[in-house]
Amino acid sequence: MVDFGFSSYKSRFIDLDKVDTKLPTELFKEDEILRACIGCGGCSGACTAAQFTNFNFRLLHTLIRRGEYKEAKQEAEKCMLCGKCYMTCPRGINTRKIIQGIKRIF
Amino acid sequence: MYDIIIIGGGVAGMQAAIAAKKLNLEPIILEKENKLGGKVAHKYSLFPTFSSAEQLIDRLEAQIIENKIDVRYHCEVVSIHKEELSVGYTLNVGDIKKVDNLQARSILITTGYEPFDARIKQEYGYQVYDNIYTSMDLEAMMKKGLILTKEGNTPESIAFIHCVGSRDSQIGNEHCSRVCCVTGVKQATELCQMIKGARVYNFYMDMRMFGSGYEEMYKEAQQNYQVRFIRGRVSELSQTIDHKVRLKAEDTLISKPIAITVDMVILLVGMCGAVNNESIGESAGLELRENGLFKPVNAFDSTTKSTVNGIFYAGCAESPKNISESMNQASQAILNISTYLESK
Repeated sequence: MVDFGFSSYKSRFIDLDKVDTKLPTELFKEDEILRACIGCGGCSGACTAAQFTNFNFRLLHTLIRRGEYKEAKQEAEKCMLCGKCYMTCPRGINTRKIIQGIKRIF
Repeated sequence: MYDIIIIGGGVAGMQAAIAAKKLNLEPIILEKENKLGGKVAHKYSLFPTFSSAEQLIDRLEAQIIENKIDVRYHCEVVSIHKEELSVGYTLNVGDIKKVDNLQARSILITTGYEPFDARIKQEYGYQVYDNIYTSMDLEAMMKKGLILTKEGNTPESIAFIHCVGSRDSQIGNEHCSRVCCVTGVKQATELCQMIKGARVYNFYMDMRMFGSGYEEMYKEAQQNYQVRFIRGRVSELSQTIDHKVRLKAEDTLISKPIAITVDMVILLVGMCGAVNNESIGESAGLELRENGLFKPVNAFDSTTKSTVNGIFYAGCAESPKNISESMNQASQAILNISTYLESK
């Protein structure tokens, strides 16, 4: 194929009209307080796995809630379930339950 | 008999007493400390004007004296008898505690707030690690004009941690204390003014600039003082071998973990209910909020009214407020009390 020096990219746009909320809603059942996350990043700041990998609990569940969960399960595998994030979360979200839920649902 | 017993001589209590006198009511202030002014008296300067806290208290105190308002010091109110509208208090002078009570035609609770005890947030190591102070500690240091680390050096880098003891289910404080955000901006700005070349960081969850002139202060701190605002809740603090403090957080705007070592950390502590709110509330059958502050009849047109006839609220005793809101509510409370007394 002739290389014209440009290529096309998949749209980065998140179209909320097309997001399937069924699976994220399923995840909320693990711990309903997840809905009240304020995105402070306390979890990811405390995360032991984040020192060595690009694992980010806050980003992971936020992406899932926006319908971006293709690689969610793979991401959740990076978590070592140490629970430091649960201890630091100002909303008291049971983060380990959410991680287990992601592994099960997605 | 006095018309109104005002419990607490902070800015709300003082303003209430002055307003009462203007309506020809006879108030008395019971103050637990040996001076008036409450928490504001312990502050160095006030947002958003950076004006002196002392001057405000002096202005109010001059009116207290001019209006010959009775003030009893060292009086710690511990209970209220709601049928006879009397308060039970202990007179604490030195080691001597004398129990007494006082009756009036109405009672106004202006007990203010208690700063959050930062030791409860163990991950922040307050009073465990060196060079970690609360916003109240910093006001005291500014008053003395001495901002020094434990080693006696001027700090070159300072980090503020927002929401300590507020918006935190872990320690049971769900509420927003409102004024800590702007206190952080004020203190960050002042540190930049006092310490030339200081690097100041504010780690925040949300910047809630609710008052008039607050957003402008925030912008000025960013623009003119180069205060670095980083959106992320600090997860933990640790002490380095040279007594500096290392912070860990996530910079949520770039989704990466972030760490920094600073000379000094300031914890912006939130507001909790005053120490005796529980015993006062229980004895008088008053409803307390989950955060230990008093719950009024409703949140709109009756914020100064309690569910008990003759007992009223004003200031931070009712909900977290800035100074002007506290004083306005105090005036409102006096108007409500006046109406109540006339109807009797």
